[in-house]
Amino acid sequence: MKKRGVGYGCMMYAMGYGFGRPDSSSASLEIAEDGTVTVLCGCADIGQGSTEMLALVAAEELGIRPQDVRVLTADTLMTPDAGCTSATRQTYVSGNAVRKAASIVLASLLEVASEMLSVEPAGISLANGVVLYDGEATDLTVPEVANRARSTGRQCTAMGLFNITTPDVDPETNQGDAYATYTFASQAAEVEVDTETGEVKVLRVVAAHDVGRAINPLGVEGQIEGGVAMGVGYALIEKLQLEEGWPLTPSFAEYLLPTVMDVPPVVSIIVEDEEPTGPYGAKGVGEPATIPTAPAIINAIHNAVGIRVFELPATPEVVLGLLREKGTS
Amino acid sequence: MSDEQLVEVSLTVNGRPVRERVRSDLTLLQFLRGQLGLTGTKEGCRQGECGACTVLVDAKPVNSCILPLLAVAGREVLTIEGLAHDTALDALQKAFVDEGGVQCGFCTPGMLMAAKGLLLSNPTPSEEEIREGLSGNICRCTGYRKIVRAVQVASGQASPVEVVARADHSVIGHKVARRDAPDKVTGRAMYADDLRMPGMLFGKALRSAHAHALIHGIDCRRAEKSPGVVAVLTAADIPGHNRYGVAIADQPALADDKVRCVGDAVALVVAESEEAAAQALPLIEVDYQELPGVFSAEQGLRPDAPCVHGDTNLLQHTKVRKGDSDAAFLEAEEVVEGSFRTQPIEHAYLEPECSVAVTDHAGNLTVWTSTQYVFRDRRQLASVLAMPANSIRVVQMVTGGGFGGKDDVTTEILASLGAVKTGLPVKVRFDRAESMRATTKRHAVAMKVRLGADRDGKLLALEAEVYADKGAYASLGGYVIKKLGLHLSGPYFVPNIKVDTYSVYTNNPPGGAMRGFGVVQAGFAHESLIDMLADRLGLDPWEIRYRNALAPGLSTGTGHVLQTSVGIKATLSEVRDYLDANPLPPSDQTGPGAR
Repeated sequence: MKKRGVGYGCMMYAMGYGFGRPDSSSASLEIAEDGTVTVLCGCADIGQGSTEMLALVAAEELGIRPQDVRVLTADTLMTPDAGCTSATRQTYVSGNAVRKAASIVLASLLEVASEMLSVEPAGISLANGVVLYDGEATDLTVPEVANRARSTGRQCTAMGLFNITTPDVDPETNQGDAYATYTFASQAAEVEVDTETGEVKVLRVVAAHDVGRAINPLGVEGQIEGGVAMGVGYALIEKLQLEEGWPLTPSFAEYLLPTVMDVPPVVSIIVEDEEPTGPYGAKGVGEPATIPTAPAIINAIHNAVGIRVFELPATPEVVLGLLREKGTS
Repeated sequence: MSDEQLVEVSLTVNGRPVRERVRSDLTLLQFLRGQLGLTGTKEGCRQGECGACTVLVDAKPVNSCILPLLAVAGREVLTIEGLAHDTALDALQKAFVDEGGVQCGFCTPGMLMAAKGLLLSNPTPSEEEIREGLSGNICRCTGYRKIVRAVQVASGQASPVEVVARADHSVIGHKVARRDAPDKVTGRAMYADDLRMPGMLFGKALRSAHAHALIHGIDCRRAEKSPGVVAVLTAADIPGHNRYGVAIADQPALADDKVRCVGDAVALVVAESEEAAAQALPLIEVDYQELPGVFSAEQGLRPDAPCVHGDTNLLQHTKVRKGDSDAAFLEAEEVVEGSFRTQPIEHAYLEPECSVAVTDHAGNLTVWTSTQYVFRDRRQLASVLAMPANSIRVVQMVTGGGFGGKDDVTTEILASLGAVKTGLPVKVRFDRAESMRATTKRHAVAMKVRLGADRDGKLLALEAEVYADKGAYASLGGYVIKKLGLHLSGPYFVPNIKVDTYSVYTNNPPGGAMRGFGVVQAGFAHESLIDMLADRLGLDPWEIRYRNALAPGLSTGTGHVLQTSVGIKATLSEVRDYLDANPLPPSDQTGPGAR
């Protein structure tokens, strides 16, 4: 018989290294005479999409189009150190470093624009490549301002540093303000357990993630969907078998990974409880995406057939064994 | 290779006739990448298991990594480089870009070719048929949903993702296609293994034959004479400090006194080809004295356990002490307890580790690599090579996934040792089996956890002992397991906590950072226990979570009183509201669940 169940998984994940470990990012930014921008940042994009995120942050701060921003990353000779792509930190830390660099160049551009328009800088803003005054578009464009700034020797390059190194916690109790900020998530997994085979099919995962602010919601969804898939693997499929230190599963023929057949529909819900110190309120999503999935599935199995899995992964053999123990098979 | 062993082969590649004299044992993938320089097709496993190498032969998807080239003589091969029409992207490529079907991009060319093959034979496949058609292609990043969607969009069966411009001209908060995606869907994106240099040599490491053994000597003389071998390096060739590691430098670049796991590199052969390097490896004679090993954290802490390093296997003991848990457990009206075990798992990024290193006449070193952090690679290279940091340049190539596994040095030091020794460019790349054997894993842990609450389900106390299998080297393990301990109370307010975590060296492959960094394991424990508690108290699992959820003014497990951006309750409400509004359609084969 097939039985259905639903289970919740929730999590808190501290962003950044925490407890006194050095944790900062730096970036530099330059605006050329035609208004195009180059960002240099040590932030390694390993597939999660940080390079696009950095471009969006620079464009937002400078009021230009994202396609006018070019980003060079992760080269020790060319880019400033951004710390590691880990701890779900790059949107928060490098996003802030780029924003800071952009804000210094922006101040310079606003000053030049105010001279060109003969108005007070306070009323000026930039959006979409155009200079606004009191919120109304003027005839002046960002490239024109950049060109004037370059030709009059003004600041067109800047460096931004963002440092979230926290004080260390008490070494005996580990009490203290350990981390800069935290992300939160809740997921529900709905499963179908085949009581004859022990097979667990994940029917759907509903995943709500508090990311502070989604810089690129398409990227956030991609992280959530990928994280859920990895969570399905952790809960049900994956295990590096070891014998006396030797991997018995050295290839993808033996080490099984979730395929497109194993991954359920994922409903991604983005919750934006803005973090005041984040770039435009953003925190991050990379690691949190995968954390609640396995427990949600394990709780859903219990909800469906009343067995509690204490050891991962919950393979059909494990589920069948527990069902037999319970005497319901 | 003498001329007699070469055979002539003719075929069509991306519409152009190709005629070449080749080795008869070449695979189609080796021919495409090596001979034709079509590096858009990727090598993920060399065993036909992952699909990254998928190309079309006479319009049918095949795994080019296991297909002999001679089997496709006279046939038509289409690779990712031939998918675009002049400069216009194919509808599939465009949909992969726009729908977010591309992340690290390493599976993308193969995935696209599999999808193309599917649409050629079935222009409007159902979702089930799309999944079937892509089931031989592994993607570790996207969770496949957006890939399936992209195929539906490209086949005119779904409408493209909506991009809604905001009234305030803000560029933040819209769905945006990534700027690196077009290169990734056309095969132009350059990963480390796509680099070719004149005179480039290949390095391959001899891995330990034992999980724990002393080394009394290494004889490289036979290997040095093997055809094509340029140099064989051992620990004696290391110019600087022969230890590296993200947190603690406890890992030798090449084993010296002993080996501590089967992934240890013992010697490095640098040769004119990868095959020549591989052929020389068994000729290296290592005089091992096998030692008894430890293979679990519990075993490692026994008083008579053999030590992996120094005189204790305990790398780190972390204590979390908040409030008075002993007193709180006495007050608790309900206590649940569980012993949880988690397994080691593999990051399984689709791109295996690879670096290319080269020196210049001034003595500067450049390393192009697949990594998560170039500056830390530089720091570790500087120390092992005894070079000033500013004479080393580390450049990240397009990287095919990391998930924490490329936090650590992988191929960077080996390639650099070879380049410094020979003065020529050296590429080191792991195959899948070497990647599994030599790189870090998510930690296996054993957690004994108790959770106490009052009658209303209000959490009062948590107590835990956690034993983590650190494996042979520290990597980031001390920090991972510390973070696990600091997160065991999850997103809930628990006033009294007593947690002890122990990271224990063993002779297993090292545990390191992997997506979730200890919090994955913690989540399995606290979420299981809170459900058990709800069961015991007759409470709804959602309700008990909501009642205990952190909020501004409440403190985390480390006593950090949160002030802003505490979205846990909002996420709980969103999930419940969605489930209430969108129940799954019932299945007629399905019996009622417990609830």
